[in-house]
Amino acid sequence: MKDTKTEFKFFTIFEWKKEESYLREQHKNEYIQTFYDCGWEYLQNFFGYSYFRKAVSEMDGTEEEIFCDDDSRLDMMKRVFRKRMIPLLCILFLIIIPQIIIQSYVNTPENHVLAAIFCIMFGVYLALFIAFAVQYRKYYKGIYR
Amino acid sequence: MATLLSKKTEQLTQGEIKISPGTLYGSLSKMEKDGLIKFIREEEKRKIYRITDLGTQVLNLEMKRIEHLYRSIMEA
Repeated sequence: MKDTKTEFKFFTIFEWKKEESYLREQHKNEYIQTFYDCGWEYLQNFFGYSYFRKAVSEMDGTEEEIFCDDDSRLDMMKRVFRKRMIPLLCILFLIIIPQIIIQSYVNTPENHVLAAIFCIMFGVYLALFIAFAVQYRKYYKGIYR
Repeated sequence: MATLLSKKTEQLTQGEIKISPGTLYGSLSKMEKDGLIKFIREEEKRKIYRITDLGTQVLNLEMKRIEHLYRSIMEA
């Protein structure tokens, strides 16, 4: 059993942030290595997306994709969707809904206008979420017949 | 691991099946989480895995299933 590299890393509980970023770096390197082994060169990260490229000459005639399987591609889409959903949900529950409740308690015309604006925003959110749900079902059915 | 896996499956299936890196990384993580493979060691940023007993059982079941499929097609 040669060629083993043992790394001992000592992290106290107070250094959990350091340990977290160290482990994240490890996983990132493994991820990039997996892609490299399949012929994909790592370019950069941008807004939470990782960019890779592969020369067409290396693709053996087909048009290779990064996901060759519907399930794994769907998992990736779900991940992206959740990451985008969380800020929207925060705004919904921390701003819009509380504001509608607060504004409805005061009885001045200005507050009525504010309440109306937030109600409209709520309506837009509802329409968006319904549209997302419909699109997801359509895509899901499209894959699984 | 990925080099071996993707090249090996390509060889075994005569180029019919090429496993893409996005799918591969996710599958390996899932299989490890489900206890089908276990992490042995790391070599130059690559993880080396070995199949577990549970993994072998699942593999055998899957092979039997494919064999039955093949037989029913041949008999049809």
